[in-house]
Amino acid sequence: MAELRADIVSEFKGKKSFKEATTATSILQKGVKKLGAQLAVTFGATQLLRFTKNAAKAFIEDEKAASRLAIAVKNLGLAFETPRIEEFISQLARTSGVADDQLRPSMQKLLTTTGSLAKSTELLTQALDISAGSGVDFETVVNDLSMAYVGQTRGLRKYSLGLTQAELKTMSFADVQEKLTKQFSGANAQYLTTYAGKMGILSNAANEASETIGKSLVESLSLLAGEGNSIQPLADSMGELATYVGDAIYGLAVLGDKLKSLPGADLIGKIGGARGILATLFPQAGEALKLLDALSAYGKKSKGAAGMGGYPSSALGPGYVDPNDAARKKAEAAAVKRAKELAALQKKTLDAQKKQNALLKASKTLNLEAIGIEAALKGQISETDRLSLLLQKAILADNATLATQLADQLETAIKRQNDLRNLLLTTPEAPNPYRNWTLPQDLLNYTASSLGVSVAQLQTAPIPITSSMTDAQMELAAAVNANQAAEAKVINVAVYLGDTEITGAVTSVQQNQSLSGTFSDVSRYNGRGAPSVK
Amino acid sequence: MPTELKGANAFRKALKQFSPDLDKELRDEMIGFLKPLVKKARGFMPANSAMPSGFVGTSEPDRFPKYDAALARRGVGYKLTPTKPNRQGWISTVSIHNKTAAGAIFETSGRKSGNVGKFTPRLQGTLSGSGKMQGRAMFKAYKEDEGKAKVGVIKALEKAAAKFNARGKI
Repeated sequence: MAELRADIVSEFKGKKSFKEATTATSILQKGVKKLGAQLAVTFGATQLLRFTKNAAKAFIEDEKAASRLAIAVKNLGLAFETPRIEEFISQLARTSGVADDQLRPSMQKLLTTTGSLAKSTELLTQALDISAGSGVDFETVVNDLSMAYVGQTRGLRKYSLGLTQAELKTMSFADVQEKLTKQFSGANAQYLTTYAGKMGILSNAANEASETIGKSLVESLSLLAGEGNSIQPLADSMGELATYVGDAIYGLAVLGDKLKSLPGADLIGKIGGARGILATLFPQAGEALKLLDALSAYGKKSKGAAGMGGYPSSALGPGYVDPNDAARKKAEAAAVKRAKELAALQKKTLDAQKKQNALLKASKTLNLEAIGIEAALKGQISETDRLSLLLQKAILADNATLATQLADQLETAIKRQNDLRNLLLTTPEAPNPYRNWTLPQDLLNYTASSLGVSVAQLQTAPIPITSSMTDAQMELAAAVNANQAAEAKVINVAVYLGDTEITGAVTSVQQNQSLSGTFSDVSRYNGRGAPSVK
Repeated sequence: MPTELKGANAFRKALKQFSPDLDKELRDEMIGFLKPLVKKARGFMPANSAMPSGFVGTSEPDRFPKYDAALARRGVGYKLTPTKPNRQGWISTVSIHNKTAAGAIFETSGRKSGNVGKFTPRLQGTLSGSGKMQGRAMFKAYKEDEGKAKVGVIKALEKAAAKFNARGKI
């Protein structure tokens, strides 16, 4: 409880405090507003810079992947196929919703495995279907297909083809491919009709756009930096440039949004896209648009052909003979040869496997276990062991009735054995059955004659052991002596004087002498000590 | 109701800093008016024997406070230094107080609910004053003083201010 107070004189300080609080709040508000504005600017610029960085990074990664694929293709002797491969990957990326970042390594793997562009493209397309149909990610599918091509079909189990592992092993790759085609054909096309598929295509397109912007950005920077020029000033002004470009892009987006709401917005497409809109809205900008067109065309020309190489991929007319046709045919022939070799190798492996299986089957006919049981039954065995072996035999023969009977018998036998064991454990120790036997006379005679003494001497006098005795005689004499010593009796002799025992008589005489005073030889020291007779 | 005296605290500060002798004189004069008031308030505090027996004793922490006449009387006093501003922004320049919990209970018991229950009717004395200035000891003494102490303190302050101002003139 607060202390009680009665104010005598007071002073109101509220106004000042409130004023101070108001001022502080106002300052805080201004500070927060300023901070908010700064944060908005900072984060807006940061987002744009991040996008720019990511775009450049995406392009660099893409270029690296393209470079790896180009080298792999070159090493395979298919360098002339580079434009076709690039064209195929670009087209597949656009239509399938799978990024070229994924397609390039997959293509590289398939090319190195098959050595054939035709087969690789076929497998890559099929992998898309399998991935969409099975839900397994694209890269895993490509890996499984490339493994299956060389005969390792273990990875195909996850696609639930309805085949056992043994069947998969025995099938050729062509059969496997047919099975996969039958099961997953059209899955990717179906997937692309779904919302997720469409989103995948859009996402992929956005990523591609990002990479394109990143590429242009990196190339522009390289161009502006030039040889020996410092890129630092350009890097410093990048933030400002990004902000400016970002604002401009946002302005365009707002403009586009406004245009959509105008009546007749559907005419935009008819007008001719963004360029058409600009030309329609700003007829006076005709010269500027022409300049932009020229700039775009020059830039495109300066960049050169996109992708892994500069080889033109377009057809050059019906009469044009591709100088690489011969090399292409040669490569395809080599790939076919390699495929045949692989098939032959697989067939050989399968034959070996079949032989091994046959041997295994034959070995199973020799039922070693049954043989062992029969052999054991022929030996000398206990009842429980016999029943156990018979039960095992019945189990091996799948004879349930007999097995049940034998199991019961075995249980009874084990119980009986246990009862017997317990009975033996509780039986008292048996006495020595020879305990009442006496030594026969002829044994005594034999011993006495052996030692050269009489039978009576054997029990009364010790037999002297001499050096002339044989070892057997010595041992026999020692045994007889030991027996005599054990049976030796103690004889107590008592001496009487008249009717009194001699010790009692002596004591009486001493006492009488002492009492009469004649007994003076009592040895005492100062009247102490026991009396003694001298 | 307390009387507002604007600039009293600033004046006391200035006085303490520039005219300590005048400050001491002022203090003594104010104490002269406040001491009888405090003495009277202490006189309203009953002896232990006059209180309900369960309420008398030594207070322990976290328990209901116990009344000890000596402590309760010592808890009544005066203060000549300004307090911190309360939530309404008021500073008490000169005040009297009843500090102990048991003394405050005796002072205010029955102020809201009236003279009812088993405890309040057994307390000596009657509530005097009105509103938050109603009580049995300090507030009663303040009420019975009829503003004499207040007037005396204010006059002492005014007198000291006049003297201080006079010293400042050339």
